[in-house]
This record gives sequence, C-alpha cells and structure tokens, in this order.
Amino acid sequence: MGLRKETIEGILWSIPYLAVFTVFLVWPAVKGLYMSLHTYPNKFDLTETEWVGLQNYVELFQDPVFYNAMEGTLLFVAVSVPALVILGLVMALGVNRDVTGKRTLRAIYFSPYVLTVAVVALVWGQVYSQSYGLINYYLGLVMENPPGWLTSPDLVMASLAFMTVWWLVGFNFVIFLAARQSIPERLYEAARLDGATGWRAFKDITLPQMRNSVVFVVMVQFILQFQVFAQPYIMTQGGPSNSSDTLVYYLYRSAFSQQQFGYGAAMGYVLVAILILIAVVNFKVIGDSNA
Amino acid sequence: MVPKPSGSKSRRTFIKSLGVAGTVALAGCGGNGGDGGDGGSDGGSTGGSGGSESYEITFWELFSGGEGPIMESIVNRFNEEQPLDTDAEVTINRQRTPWNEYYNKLFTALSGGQAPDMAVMHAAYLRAWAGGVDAIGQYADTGSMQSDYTESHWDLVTVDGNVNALPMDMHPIGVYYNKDLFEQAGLDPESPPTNWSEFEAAGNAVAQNTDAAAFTQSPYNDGFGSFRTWSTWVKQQGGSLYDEEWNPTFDNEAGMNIAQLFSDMTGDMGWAPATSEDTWGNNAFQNGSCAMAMNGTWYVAALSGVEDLNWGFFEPTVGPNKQQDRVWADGHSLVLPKKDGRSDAKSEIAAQVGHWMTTQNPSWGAEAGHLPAANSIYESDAFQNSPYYDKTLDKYVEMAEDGDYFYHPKVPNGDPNAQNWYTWLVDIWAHNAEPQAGVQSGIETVSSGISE
Repeated sequence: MGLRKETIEGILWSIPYLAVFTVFLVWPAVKGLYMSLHTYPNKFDLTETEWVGLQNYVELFQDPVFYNAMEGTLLFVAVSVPALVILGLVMALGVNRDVTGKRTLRAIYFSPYVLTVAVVALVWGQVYSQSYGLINYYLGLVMENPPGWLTSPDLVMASLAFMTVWWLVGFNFVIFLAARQSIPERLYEAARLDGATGWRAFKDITLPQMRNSVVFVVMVQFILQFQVFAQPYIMTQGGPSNSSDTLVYYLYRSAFSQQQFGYGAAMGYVLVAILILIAVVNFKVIGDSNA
Repeated sequence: MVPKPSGSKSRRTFIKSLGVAGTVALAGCGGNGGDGGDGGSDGGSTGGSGGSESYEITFWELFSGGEGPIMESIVNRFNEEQPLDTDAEVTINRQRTPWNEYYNKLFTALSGGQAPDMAVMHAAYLRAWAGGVDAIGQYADTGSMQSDYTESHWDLVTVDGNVNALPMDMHPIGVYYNKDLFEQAGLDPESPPTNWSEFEAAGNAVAQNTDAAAFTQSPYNDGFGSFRTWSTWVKQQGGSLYDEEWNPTFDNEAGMNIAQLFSDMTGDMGWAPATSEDTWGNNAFQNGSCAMAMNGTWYVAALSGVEDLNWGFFEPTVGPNKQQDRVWADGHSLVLPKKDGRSDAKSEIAAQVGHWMTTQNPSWGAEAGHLPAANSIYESDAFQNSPYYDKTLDKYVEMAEDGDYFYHPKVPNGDPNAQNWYTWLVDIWAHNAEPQAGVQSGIETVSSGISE
C-alpha cells in the first residue's frame, strides 16, 4: 500500500513537468517532423498541407546555401568552443589561487554573461566598426588601413566568435570554479609529498577531478554555439559575401522570410541530428573513462 | 501614370468623390438594405465587443526615424477627432515594428490567425501577399474613391485588376548632395549635375580637391538600397530587370556596365572606400565627409535633424549612356489583412479609416517628405508650403509629371525588398566579388527566391 501510494504521489508530482514537457517540447518536435515532410502551398493558410515525403531533405542536401551556412557554422564552432572552454578553465584556475582582488575579478569575468545578445551586438558593433570603431582607432595610430572586422569575409566569423567568447565565457568560468573548489585539498597535499606540483598536479589531479564539468561545458557549448543565430542576424545579416551565414539563420530565413516552413523544419531536424551525433561523440571521446 | 498635378478639374472630382464617399459612409452606418443590420450593431454582435457602438482597429506599421512620430500624430488625431461619419466610436490601436522585422512578423501573425485589422504594406509586396489580404474593394466603393488618388498611385495598388490596398504615398529616390563640399571642390553648389558628364566631373572634382568621398550608392550600404541605385541606372540605359514571367534579366549589358561602375567608383575612380560597412555612408554624409548620397524621399526626415549640414538635392537621372529618364519608386499602402472573425462591418470601418488616413493628412507628405497619394493633398497649402517643397518635393513632383518613375515588378513570390536578395551588389561595391561573378550570383539568388 505504501509503495503504491508513493508511486501515485510520484506520478502526481511529475505531471506538471511532464505536461509542460509534452506541450512545449514533445508536441512541437512531432509537429516539426510532420512539417518537414510536407509543403504548404498556401502560405497564408497553414492548414493546407501537401505530403512530399523526404523531398525537403533531398533538396536541402543539394542546396549550396545550406552547405555555405554549414561551413560558416562549423567555422564559428571551431573558433568559439575551444576558446570558451580553455579560457574559462584558465580563468577559473587563475582566480582560484590566493590572488588579491579575486572577488572583483570573479565579478568582472561573470558580468558580460548577464547582458542580452542585442546589447552585446550593439556594443561590439561599435567596437568593431571599420571607420570609427575603438579597435581601429588604436590600430589606425600604427597602421594605415586597419582591417574591417565585420566587413572582411576572412575575418567576420572570427570576430563574431571572439565577441561571443567575451560574452559567454563567464558561465563556463563559474562552472569550472565551482568544480575546482570541490576538489579536496588533501589530494594536492599528498601529491606535494610525492613531489608532484604544477603541470603534473594539473594533469593528474585537477583535470581528472573536473572531468564531469569539462564534459558538461564542452557539450553545452557545442550545442549552444551550433545554434548561433542572433550575432549574424543583428550584426552582419550573414554578410559580407554570405561569409557569416549560419544554419539557424538560414533556417529562420527559409521559414519566416521565404515562407518555406517544411524546408525550415527539415533543416531543424538535420540540426538536431548533428547535435545528437556531437553529443554521442563527445561522451565517447571525453566522457567515457569516468571510472 | 502621372499624378494629376493641378487644375480645377481634379479638385472638382475630389470634392465630388468626397460627396460619394460620404454617402457610402452614411450608408454603412445607416443600414445596408438587404444585408441585414447596420455597421454599428453588426460590429457589436460579431465583434464581441459588448457595446454596439465601438470599434478598435488594430493597425500595424513600420515607420521609424522621422516618419514614426508623424504617423503617431495622425493616429492620435484620428482618435481625438473621431472624423468618420458614423455614430460608432472608432479608435486606432497602433503598433510599430521595425521595418526589417515587420513583414516576417506580419506574415507569422497572418498565418497564425492573429493579423491586425489594417496594416501598412509596400506596393511591391501586393502580389506576393495577395492571398493574405482582403481586396479593399470588398468593403469600400473603390470606384468612387479612385478619383481621390493620382493615377500612378492607384496603379501601384492594383494587382491583376483587383484593388488590393489604398495608396498612401510614393517614395522615389534622388541624390542628396553637400553644398559646402561642392564649393570646396570648385563646383557651383547651386547648379548640381543634370547628366552623366556633369555628375562624373563633380565626383572627380570632389575626389581630387577635397578629403571627402564623392558618392555613396546607398547611405546604409545595404543590398536593397544599392539595388535601387543600380536598377535606376540600368533602366536609364534601357536595360531590363525582369521578363514577363518575373525571371531576372539584369545580367544584360546595361546591368554589367553599372555593376562595373560600382566597382570602379570604389576602385580606380576613388570616389568612396571599398567597404561593406553599413554605417559608413550615412555617417559620412551626415558629418560632411561624403559629397553625394542616393536615397529615398524619407531621407529628409533624417537630414532635417542634422545641424550645419548644408544639403541640396538633384534628380538621379544622371546615369551613364542614358537612353531614357527612369527613377525607381515604390509606395506605402494600407491593406486589410485576412482575419477570421472580423465582421464585415469592422472591415468597412477599417477601409474608411484607411481612406481618411490617406486623403486627409497632408503632414504625411509635408513633414515626412513623401509624395502623397491623394490629389487633394498635392494641391493643399500644407503640402505646397512644406519646408521640403523647394528642396526635394518639387523635383519629385516634376519627375512624376514627366513620367520618370518605374516600379520593381510585384513578384509573385519571395521578398522583393529583401536585403539578402541584393547583397551581391554590396559585394561588388566592397570588392568582395568581381562584377561579372557578383551579377551571376544575383541572378541565381533572385531566381531561386522567386521560384520558391
């Protein structure tokens, strides 16, 4: 009877969350899958649908704009994710030491994270401006033609990634700092007795002890940065020369500017597949040896 | 195609049509015979507003900068004066969305069944959006209204014979120039260029004799802004932009010539830096370091707030190898988006609101710098005495009278004002793409945009 009561209570307690989960995640996911297999001949009446099977997916894989957006996204991820993880780790280990002003530093490191992307984009738009930006003002003192950070096809993705690292690294910093502080000090004392300090202690104690946090941060950052949207949308509209186009930005354009909901939904599903693949690889590569 | 500029005839037709419109309004209020029920009570019963005599017309618009406050004042005026000839209390509930978000939001609202009762729409969208709007002729006597508007404005809102909207204005482009820089360059600031050789000489003089840049093809260095300038000069050379099936044809000789000119202006000619920075041209023109900027009627509202900028304006009919005078124009119009559950009575009221807004508000032309759609406003003192009249409006009127305007076709699909349809032009301007390759990628982008 007691167990039965517990079971019933458990189910009852779960219902509110499961209801929200179903309404806002499961149902849209199912609906999205349905949409990706259809087209909408009357874009003003979405109740009219036409079954096309996998045609949206087939078209997607033949679409050069999709590959260009994929390339842009991969470049952005390749620059931003390692920087976000490594810099967050270095900052956390740095202020974990007994340095003066570490409380202030912690506040400073975290503060950009509280800003919204629109604010960050506005501020960095000014900083990056080719003709009157802060960076080029100083560069202009030592060189004749400072580069266009957002207007050069070769630099734009790196510029957006750099800005993103500045904005988001505070989150990783907090996770890593918490993880570092939960490592028992006795491990380091024992290591010191054995003569292991510095790099050796980092490699054999700090990193293995922080493995779960690292896996978490790497995973979260891959998932978040793969979905980069607002930075190119607000700052560059995918330009110059489509060099800052990304998957989610293209998805948005397809669905809401070109009113191809089925095509956009198919792109969303391809994105989900990529993210699942990344998560699996991530667990296999750095998360497996948790013993 | 030309606005009827003056004369007692059009004034008479206007007065006459006002009488007709008034009768229609009264009919709407006093009962439509066999339709069963008058506007007020119908609205009450189907609109679900409780009281039988009040309507709230939700209205979406996209005006920013100098135009936004003027539209706000028009709406406020309506709500205070209650100018419609009806017993019902009608209020406009205005919501503004920035222009780069506007159509996406309107589309999403439409497909989700949450559209506003009335919305601003560019004429170029009226074909692609035809399935999403109620033809205004269903709810208003467009036959009698037609004479209130200039012919060319009326043509802009007519798609395949259906009057899909009420025209509000027309906004062509022109060239704004800095008189002080002209003087510095040794040019006569009161005699701006009237043809290509004068324009070229002026640009070269600025480039050689001052520290300033000579020209920006669009102050915001945006794709669509660049396309307005480029297509204007392509048409002046006699080049076509689209064929009858709306396939882009602008990879013709004229198109290539102007693309090459864009590349040269930021290259060998040294007229402007080769940049895609979107703020460059606007900043440079407003702070006096760029001599000429090609932009639309709306730019006056932005420039009027800039102190110490001694600017003038000339017609952009200065393209090279010109065969004909042609200048790009589009227009704002008012549509009734499709909306389930909106009563016919409310739609009729919304159509009347649109008619009032477009015919009774000279401030839209006089203060925002647009070419008004209504004949009566053309002839009004408020418009003729506008501070912009001698600076820009008279030249716009002149171009209209000469039949210089052309409109981009109302394409059946895609977004004819989209930035990313035309970013290839910014790429050519910024030397990120060779002219030939840039135009080819433009053809592909626009073709696939229209065919989708």
